[in-house]
Amino acid sequence: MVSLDCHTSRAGDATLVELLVTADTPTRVRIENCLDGPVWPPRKQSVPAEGWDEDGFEGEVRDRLVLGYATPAEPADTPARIVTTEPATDTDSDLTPRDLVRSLGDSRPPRDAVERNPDDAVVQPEAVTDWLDAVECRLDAADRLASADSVSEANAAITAVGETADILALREQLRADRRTLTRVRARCEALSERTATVEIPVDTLSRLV
Amino acid sequence: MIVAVIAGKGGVGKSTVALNLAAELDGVVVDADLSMADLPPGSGPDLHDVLAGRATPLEAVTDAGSVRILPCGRSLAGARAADPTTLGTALDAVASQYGRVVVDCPAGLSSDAGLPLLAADACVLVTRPTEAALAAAMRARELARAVETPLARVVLNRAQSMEPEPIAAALGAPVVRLPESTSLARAQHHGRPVGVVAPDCPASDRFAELAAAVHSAIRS
Repeated sequence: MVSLDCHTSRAGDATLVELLVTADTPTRVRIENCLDGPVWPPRKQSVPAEGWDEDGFEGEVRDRLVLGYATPAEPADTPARIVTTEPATDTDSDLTPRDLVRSLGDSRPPRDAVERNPDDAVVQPEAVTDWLDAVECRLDAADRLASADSVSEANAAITAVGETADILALREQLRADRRTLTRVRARCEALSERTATVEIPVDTLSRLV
Repeated sequence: MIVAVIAGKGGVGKSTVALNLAAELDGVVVDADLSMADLPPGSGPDLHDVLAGRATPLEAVTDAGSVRILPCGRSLAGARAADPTTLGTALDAVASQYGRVVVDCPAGLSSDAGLPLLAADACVLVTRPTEAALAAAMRARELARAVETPLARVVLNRAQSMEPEPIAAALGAPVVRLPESTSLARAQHHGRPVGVVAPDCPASDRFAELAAAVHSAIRS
């Protein structure tokens, strides 16, 4: 059950309308002005307060709700009336972080302000790059030798490497590459873990200097 | 308990109040100024990493000597990658572990200032006795009202001689005045609470008073 009590008073050239809406259960109501003039709603930050529009107010009533607006129209017996009512839904009143961002704006730096992913800016020492590229070349040659499924392809792959002795040397070199890569990988992992955990007490040291 | 330290504009002493309030409450201070962090940076994961899902909130809490801190990253890329809507969950996790959390919020009225307010149980509003700072403080007060976070105290910084009553009436909360203090400025420069560096300094007493008031305001 929703009820509406109205009271009007005249202030200068305007009529002030006070409304008291009461509801037994949480209810969403639509209230419209019945006076012969525009609604001058309460304002916040120079825009109509939440729920107000040019014809009246729409919002939730939980027990009691006090509203007020002004209009240039003359007072009358029924200044406003309830147009629609429907049960309120709880989700309307819970402000979520996303609602807040929606109303206040995304304050993160714009995408254009971020030049590129910092992971892309990792600089690999030149000697390491050269060595890894050389290993990759040897692997490509070995792949061509292994995957040749015709005489002409095999001949082309062998010519690219050299003679039979060179093929044997390539096999030995790749075995050595594998041992080296395994050892380097272990050392890289150990050093990476150390860089992640080491802490230099910069603030403390700077106070000592 | 989560306390948001807010200010309408920058440069009024918000980070100083946050650090010292956290020290007095024996809690964790979280630097939530995602784009312009001001509290000491750490050497491990920071709030950017937490809000981007690269670290858990508890992993990012470090003991910076006399106060625990969850620092914030300094890079634009980090600020861009962080999802600020997950801040509330992160703050809840820190509060569950450490009990008391003080959040150094960004100045202004954007969503990055509103989100920690939304997650907080109460807020402390820092301002200075200047027209610009007080006007901005009124707007920050409105933001706190809009997200329904109660204002526990107003801190009037560098204003020992000013009468607090008009400001308390305008902002709707009791005022704690902080005196101008060289010791406080020096302590903050080194990222340390003044109560540790200069316990006899008048500012130390004000922070103890502020912490007691905030604590009782939240419990009541």
